[in-house]
Amino acid sequence: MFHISMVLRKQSVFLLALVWLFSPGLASAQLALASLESIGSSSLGIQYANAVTNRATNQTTYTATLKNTSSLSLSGPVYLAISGITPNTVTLANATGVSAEGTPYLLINTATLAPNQAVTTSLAFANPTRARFSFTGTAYHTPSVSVSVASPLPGQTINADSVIINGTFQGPANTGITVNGQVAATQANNFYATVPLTLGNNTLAVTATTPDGQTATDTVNVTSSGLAPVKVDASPSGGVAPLAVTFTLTNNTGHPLQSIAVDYDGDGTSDFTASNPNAAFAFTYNAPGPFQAVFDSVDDQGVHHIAKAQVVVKDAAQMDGLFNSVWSGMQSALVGNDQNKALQFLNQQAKDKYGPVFQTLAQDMPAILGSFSPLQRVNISEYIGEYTIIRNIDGVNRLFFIYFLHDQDGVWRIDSM
Amino acid sequence: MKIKIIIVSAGLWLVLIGTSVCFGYGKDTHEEISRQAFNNSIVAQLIAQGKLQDIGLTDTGTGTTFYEGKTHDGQVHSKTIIDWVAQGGYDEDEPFTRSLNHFYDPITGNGLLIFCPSLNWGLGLCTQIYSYKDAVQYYFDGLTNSSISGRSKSLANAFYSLGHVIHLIQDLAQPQHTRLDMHPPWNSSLYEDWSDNFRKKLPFAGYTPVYPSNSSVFYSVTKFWKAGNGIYGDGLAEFSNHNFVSAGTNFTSNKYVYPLLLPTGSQDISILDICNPLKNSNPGDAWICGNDPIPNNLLNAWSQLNPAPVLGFFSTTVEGPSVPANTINQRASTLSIFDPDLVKLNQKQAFTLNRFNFASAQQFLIPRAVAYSAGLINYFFRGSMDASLDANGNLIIKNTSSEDMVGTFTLYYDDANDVRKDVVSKTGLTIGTNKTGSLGSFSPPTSPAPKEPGKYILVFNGKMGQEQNAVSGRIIHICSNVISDDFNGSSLNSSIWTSPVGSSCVSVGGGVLNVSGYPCYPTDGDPQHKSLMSIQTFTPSNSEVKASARIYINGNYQGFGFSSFSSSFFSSLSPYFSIYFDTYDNISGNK
Repeated sequence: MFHISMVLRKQSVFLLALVWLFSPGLASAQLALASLESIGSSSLGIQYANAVTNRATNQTTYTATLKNTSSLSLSGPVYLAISGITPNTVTLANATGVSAEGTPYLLINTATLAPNQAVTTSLAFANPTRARFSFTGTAYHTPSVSVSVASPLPGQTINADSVIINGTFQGPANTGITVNGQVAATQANNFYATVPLTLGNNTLAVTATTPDGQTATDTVNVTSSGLAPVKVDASPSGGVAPLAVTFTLTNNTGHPLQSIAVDYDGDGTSDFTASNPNAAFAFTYNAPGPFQAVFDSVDDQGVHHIAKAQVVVKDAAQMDGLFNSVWSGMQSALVGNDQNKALQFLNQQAKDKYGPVFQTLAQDMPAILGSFSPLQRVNISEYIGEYTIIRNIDGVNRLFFIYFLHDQDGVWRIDSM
Repeated sequence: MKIKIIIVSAGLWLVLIGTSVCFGYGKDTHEEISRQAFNNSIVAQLIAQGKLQDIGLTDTGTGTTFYEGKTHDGQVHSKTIIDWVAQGGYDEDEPFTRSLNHFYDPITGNGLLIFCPSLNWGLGLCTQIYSYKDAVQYYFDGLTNSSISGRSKSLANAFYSLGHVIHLIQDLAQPQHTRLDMHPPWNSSLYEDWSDNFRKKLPFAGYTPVYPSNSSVFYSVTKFWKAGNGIYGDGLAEFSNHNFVSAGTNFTSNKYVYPLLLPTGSQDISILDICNPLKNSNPGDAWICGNDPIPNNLLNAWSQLNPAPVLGFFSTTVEGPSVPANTINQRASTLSIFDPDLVKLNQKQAFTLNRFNFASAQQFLIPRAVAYSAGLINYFFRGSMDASLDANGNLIIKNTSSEDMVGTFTLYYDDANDVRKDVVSKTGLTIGTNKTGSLGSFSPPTSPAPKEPGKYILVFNGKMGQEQNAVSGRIIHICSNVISDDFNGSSLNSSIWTSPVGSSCVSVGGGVLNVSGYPCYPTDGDPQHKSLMSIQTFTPSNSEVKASARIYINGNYQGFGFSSFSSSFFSSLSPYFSIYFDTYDNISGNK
């Protein structure tokens, strides 16, 4: 949160302090500043000028200029909240509204604020006693990316050394989600991950990252009380339909398991029953969707132990669309000779490798790209998208493998070609 | 300058924090390779033979005993030996900052950037708690700790740490790790993700554990990393660095001279032929085509094209002291999508790697990842010794390993409460290979007495071969004056066998000869002689109704048949003897 404190001395304005603060997220139907993202001084500069006090109306006005000083776009709408007006006899006269927190604010810009773009607005303060006053201005915008944890609940105690975490996110296509640095699976605007827990307190930090690098984070603290009596692992835990998954059961009860009833698709109906914990637990998911396989094990003491494994199955055609958007995004940028933009679709290693190639071939790139066939899918796995294209070069049909990798921030990027 | 370095380092850490790095093979792949390695190790053989006592473990010898210990995250687990090794293999990348120490350039000896080279990391020369050095210390404590829970915890840690160390060995079979090919800020490795996809089907087999099969080369832990001059040698880092490219060192940098491209240039291979076993013999092709087939719709589409689409592959020679001459990697690298255009402009090609390159490299690298890991486990447990009493009641240690042992030999036992106590110890003792040394006079402890009479744990710690702080352990049975009855019966069904006073080495009951003892002397080499060690409980089958015993004193045969022994005969024996039981098929008469 970027605060600007100002003091009015008759018609003069003095900038007193710049303060960095950070605020947690909050959701509400009314405009809640806490649900927005405050904009730091490194991203947005605010300048106040042209302070004028009208002695007839006892009103003081300023011109406030907000400039995006970052290299990223700031998604709109952009608000300027005015807080801490001292003395309290002074009020913001032209406020667009008052936030859920009781802070008056101005709507500055409804659209996205591009890099280096500046917008200007007027602030009018009612100052019946023409007192010297100060206030704090803080800019907010609606984040283009957001993320929220639904489960586990804050403070929850988990009787296991791992936990299935899920929640929702908002963001453009190909927004990636990570939990404590581990890439999560996404399905529509939901995310899922099974993350390890250390014994005791754990902070689960979920980060959503857009392809252009904007991020949002939500965190939840949980406590692990130790190993689960029975644990189940899915392998793979994600991919495209049809997805064949095998499950491995770990028995920590100290007692033999006498029966295991498995509901692979989590629909409440048992799909398989075994008496041997080493039985082949396998299931093929033929349709896309998130599935939570439920293993109900009974030990020789008659105690039931429930263990769950998360599986996320994606639609291959949708993934084709995603990969094609990445591929075509790179190509369009290259055709437009915007190599920096083209490199945004590549992971770091590929940037290092293909950056000089793009420069070398810049002039010929439209013709080169024109010889590319459409992408043809070979295989999609949890972390790899494998495609091919064909180029006819001097009468020879040459086949090239194109690889997309789930990058460390969860965004799919081109790795090699 | 010093301040600047610190600032740079801090900045690097800021980049790394919050980033998950899938360094090395995937964690699941490491676990799989670790299990494969363990199953190829001497320890697995001992488990199969019921001889874990040979490495000092007092469990049933079958590997089903659970050891309770903690993983890095503080979670308490109860696991068997193989599961602890596999867990260690899995966990070496946790937390991810450990993986920054998993790189080693054998030519320069450097690690990644400012981080510890994996050799030093594995040896324990950088601060950590799961190094080879730590594994040795845990093993020692697992053999000697007074409490049974302490021994369990330390043995868990020993095998857990061994898993961590062989993870490092396995990373040496990933060329990016030996060619320092990681680019900050980090991104995933296609090769590693690719391997992880097929971790259950990787080509694990085909290479013999390098120790003890090649013990003249791998005579120290360091040699598993680097055994030659760095550029060329039997160390796994040398092998992968010298012979394989990586995504970032794919003939595009001047960082490494090797591998050299064969002068044939790129070879165009039809995609339709690659998976046709009649037209192509590259083993990697067959492997990947069998495990991850290209969809039929694509193959059909490509078959309609004229000419059929081709990939341009580059070949290299695979070299090393233990590599057969003229070994070729036919799929070392591939033409990149922009290479034809770069060539036309007389520019250097970009090269790329795809599924066929990975599969081809894996044919060389994965079997070695298993074999070197198994070899390191074998090396860890290479110590071998035996003990018995001589005619004067002195405890004689025999070094049955292939390296001289110089250090401390201590004999322990467990009392009735499983408290482990030392009986006799001698420091500064040097025993050459196949030589003996004396710990001096031995008297069985009586207060408290051993839980199992005659059962002791012999532990060595000291210099063994090139290793300064080696540890070896073995369960031994010292059977002095154990047979007090005469042997005038001829049938095991007779009741003349009684439990000897003060020992449970030999007893009989219900027609079953129970032998819980061990040979006090090595077997005579006759493979048909069943040593006592392997006959825990000997129940003659219907056809094996005849039995006889052979008594050896100091290795010399002294008598034959039960009826030939009398109490006076045994009373005249030295306490230093071995018994072998022969059984005969009463139908065929065969022994």
